[in-house]
Amino acid sequence: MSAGDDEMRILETLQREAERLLASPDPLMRSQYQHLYGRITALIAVKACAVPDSAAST
Amino acid sequence: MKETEAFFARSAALAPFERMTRAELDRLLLAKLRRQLERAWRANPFYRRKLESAKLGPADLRSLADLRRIPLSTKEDFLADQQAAPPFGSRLGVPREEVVLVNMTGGTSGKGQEIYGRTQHDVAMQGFLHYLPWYMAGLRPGQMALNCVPAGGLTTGGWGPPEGFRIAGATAVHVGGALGTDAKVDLLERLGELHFIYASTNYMHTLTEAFRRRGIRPADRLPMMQGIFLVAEGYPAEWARAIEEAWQCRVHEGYGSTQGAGFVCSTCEQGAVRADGRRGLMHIFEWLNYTEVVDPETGVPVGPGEEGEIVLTTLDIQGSPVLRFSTRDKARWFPHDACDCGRPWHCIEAGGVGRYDDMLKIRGNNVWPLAVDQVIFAHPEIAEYTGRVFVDDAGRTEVEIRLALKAEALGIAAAAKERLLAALREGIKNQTNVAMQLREVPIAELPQFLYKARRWTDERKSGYAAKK
Repeated sequence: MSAGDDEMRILETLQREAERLLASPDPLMRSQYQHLYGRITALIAVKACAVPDSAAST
Repeated sequence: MKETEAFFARSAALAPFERMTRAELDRLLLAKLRRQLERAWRANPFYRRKLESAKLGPADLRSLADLRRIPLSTKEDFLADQQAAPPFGSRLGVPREEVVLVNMTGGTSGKGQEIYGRTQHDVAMQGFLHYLPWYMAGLRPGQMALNCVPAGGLTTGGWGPPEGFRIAGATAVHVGGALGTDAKVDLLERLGELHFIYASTNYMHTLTEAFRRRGIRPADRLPMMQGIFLVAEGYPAEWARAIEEAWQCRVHEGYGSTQGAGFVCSTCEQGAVRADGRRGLMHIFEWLNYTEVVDPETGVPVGPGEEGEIVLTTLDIQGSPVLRFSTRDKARWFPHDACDCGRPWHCIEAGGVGRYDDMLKIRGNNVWPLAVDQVIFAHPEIAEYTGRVFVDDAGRTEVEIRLALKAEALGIAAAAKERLLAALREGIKNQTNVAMQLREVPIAELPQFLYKARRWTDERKSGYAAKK
């Protein structure tokens, strides 16, 4: 597995964890978690050199 | 002149896009286009209607050529959609509550401004779509960067750069619109260190001239400079060479737009002018913004070296995406192998992006003559006018409006005439965001327009006298 694959796997893990934060009931934090989540999805977008089959539904 | 050696410190994230074959890139583009069509089909009523009218569902996209079955989207389409479903139109594509930044197209065409809603994801993408070309131009974390483009406001050009510098990890100084030119030079003298400049063509000229007037060669004072990145206006190749000579670093250029959410392409390590004196090539970030260059009459892609209209499709933007947007920007297209850097990305020629309509880019503002017409001819005293955009002796872009009064208005009192000119100045500034010089002249000094009025001339390219 290349370093690039490993970074992508970490980013996808972070995305899943950040999704849980989006459900926070704390309005002070929730918007900042949305900010974090947007950063992660953008990093995935700029690194992805393939479109996973599941992407069609995202 | 030193090369931007840092460019060759390759990015592992960028390398797959640089090293894939053209066939592999085309397969990726097709997959991303199909995904984008699926998103639009599902969540974007504006584009759902377009796709239905073309009888093209996402599954019908079997080749890149199939995309051309989708009708172009135009500024007029977007404005009509915004009017029908204010403020973002039915093309927003995300819940309104997810919009965290509003961008509008710069200036006014006299028709209206397009409005774009950006999500958190999009703001980060906007930053990347500025950082990527600057990375290619040699910008690295920790370097000092001067942003000469006014930050903030309503435009992508105002918000993208600060975000780009932030994610670059650069030490950015946002002086655009905040300091006059002499104050900028004073600040640079105090800082004593600078690696990167982001500026419009015109402003890079102005800044270089300000150093020259002080008897300072920029490269002597700032020998650590790594790159200059130009945006917004064309230029002669000789001028770019003179700027490289003065600053002793490579001049780069990028082309971008609000519709593309940032830069769509930029020059590689060879810069805006190649070693043999030919214009450089801007390599298109096709996997982020699918970019066609087509004959505006036939819609057919142009061949190598031919001019055509840039048509954009965003591939990773959530809010207000565009599918086949007709930019009215005119560019000369080249296939990827026209540059020997080896990247599989197709190109457009640096230094020469123009317009199919009569829009003028003045100090970063999009100015349509129609907008000025509407202000001037709202005053019944005015018979005719002409506009001239030029570079003055100090290197500043200026606009001169020469206008003539109707015969019946010639006798108005001096104070009333002064009030009229003041109202025109204010109205033009409000409408275009550009301060213009007004001068009254006899009607005989103005041309007669017997068919279509050609009131405007742009003398800027000849005004960038190459000074070393």
